[in-house]
Amino acid sequence: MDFSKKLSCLFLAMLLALPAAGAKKAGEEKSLNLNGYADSVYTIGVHALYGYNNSMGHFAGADISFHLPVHRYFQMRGSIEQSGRHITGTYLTLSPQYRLGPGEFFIDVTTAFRNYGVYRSYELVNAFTAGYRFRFISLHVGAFHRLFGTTSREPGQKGSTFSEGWFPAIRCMVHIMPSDSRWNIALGIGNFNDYEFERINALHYMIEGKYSVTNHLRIELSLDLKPSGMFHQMAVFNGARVKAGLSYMF
Amino acid sequence: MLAAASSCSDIDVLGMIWAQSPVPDRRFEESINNFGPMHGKCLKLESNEYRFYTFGDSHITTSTANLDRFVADYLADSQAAPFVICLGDMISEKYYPTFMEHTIQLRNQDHYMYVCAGNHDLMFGMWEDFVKFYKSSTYWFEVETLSEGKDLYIALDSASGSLGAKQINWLDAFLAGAKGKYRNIIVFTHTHMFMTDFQQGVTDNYSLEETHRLMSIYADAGVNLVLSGHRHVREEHEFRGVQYVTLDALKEGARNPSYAICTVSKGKTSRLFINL
Repeated sequence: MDFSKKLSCLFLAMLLALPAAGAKKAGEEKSLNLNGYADSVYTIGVHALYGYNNSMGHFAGADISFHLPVHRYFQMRGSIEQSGRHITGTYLTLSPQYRLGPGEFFIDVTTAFRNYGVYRSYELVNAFTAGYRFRFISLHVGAFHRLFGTTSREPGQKGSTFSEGWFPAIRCMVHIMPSDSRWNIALGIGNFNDYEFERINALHYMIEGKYSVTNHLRIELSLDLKPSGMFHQMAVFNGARVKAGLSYMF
Repeated sequence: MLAAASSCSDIDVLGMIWAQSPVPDRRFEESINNFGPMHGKCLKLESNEYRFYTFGDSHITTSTANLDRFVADYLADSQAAPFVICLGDMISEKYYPTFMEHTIQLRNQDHYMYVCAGNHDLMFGMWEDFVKFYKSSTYWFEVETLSEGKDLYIALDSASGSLGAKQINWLDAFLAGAKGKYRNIIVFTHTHMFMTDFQQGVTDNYSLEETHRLMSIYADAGVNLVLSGHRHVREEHEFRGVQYVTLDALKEGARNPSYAICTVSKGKTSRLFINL
């Protein structure tokens, strides 16, 4: 199935996944949406980002993200991001969830597409993860598949694809405040975040913070550190990324 | 758990947090200014098609049986090119003298062994030892055929799971200048490009950004073949016109110890794997 058909199926899935009623409005619950933790309000956010890595050098960019708790048992979230001139990325996650015991059980079905325009390649990731959110900790495990492709039209390159197969996805976030606090800071480690699914051997270290200025406005800040060579036992700095922005809750 | 997560049994725990050898950028600077006697040279052959022997991940400690077999097989092949390529992880722990002793016949007036640094070659702060024996972990050399021009071979230092910014930028510029000038371009380095299964535990790759950039550099420059090791399991893939070949480990006790004989002709390479 080529990429345009996959995109069409994705949009069709989005439309079919919008039930009519049940979404909560801002103010009914005050839980904060940290990475991996549920949010019960609609949000749309804009963020600026700045980063460095060995391959791209210094880069800046921005993203637009959204979170739609369309039903008490179902959420959608996604974003579109531009990182420098190198990467245009987008992801969409469909997330059934169910309150279970002291926390919440959820399943994330994610499709992420990243176009490395400068390098004339792209990757398409499909991920299935499940997790559990407590008041202070969330754990996410699952699997993802990556397909490499090229946008080059050079003879010998055009149409080339490569499938890396299925690999684990894991992420653990620990929050220092309960979920219903106006502010929170989360520390985490894992091989995926809101913009990429790395190989299992390339763990990110993550710090995130959020502060709800009003019932409708939230400030967000995150830092992502990615070393290389951990499992070479020759670990060195590879890259880091900081993102800051605002989300409007309604 | 850590042993299961490592590609081999000896573990530099501190190295999982921060490497004890210098960072890639510093190693690259030292390498590019410290070529050995056979680096940057041109080997002249009397034929247009030739074959060279290559191995990786010998992880020499006290036992050298598979390495000795490789050396014997190569020396017995009178038609082989006068060089072999080692894809890194020559040793485990501090066994450079043992490795050098058992490969001395590959480094004389008639033969040469080109090596690239693997993570085990530099762990526990062994960069100084590597430099003492091999001078450089980033270099190139040429092979001139009888009448079809030259092949370019490039050794890259990926022992840290990243080439580092300076080496990547150097490679990009170097290959851009080499495009169209060579019959074949062959890159050899320790770290493999893709991660396709868990046959060798959680071995490191490059980061995604580096993977995409290297794939682009190789494809745009017309690199024919990228040889690597590290994951101890043979793989052959092709993407964007570039062949990516990962060798089995040569070390005793590996799942399927083997080495490869690569045949090079105009615009084409092929491999024969010899199981031990």
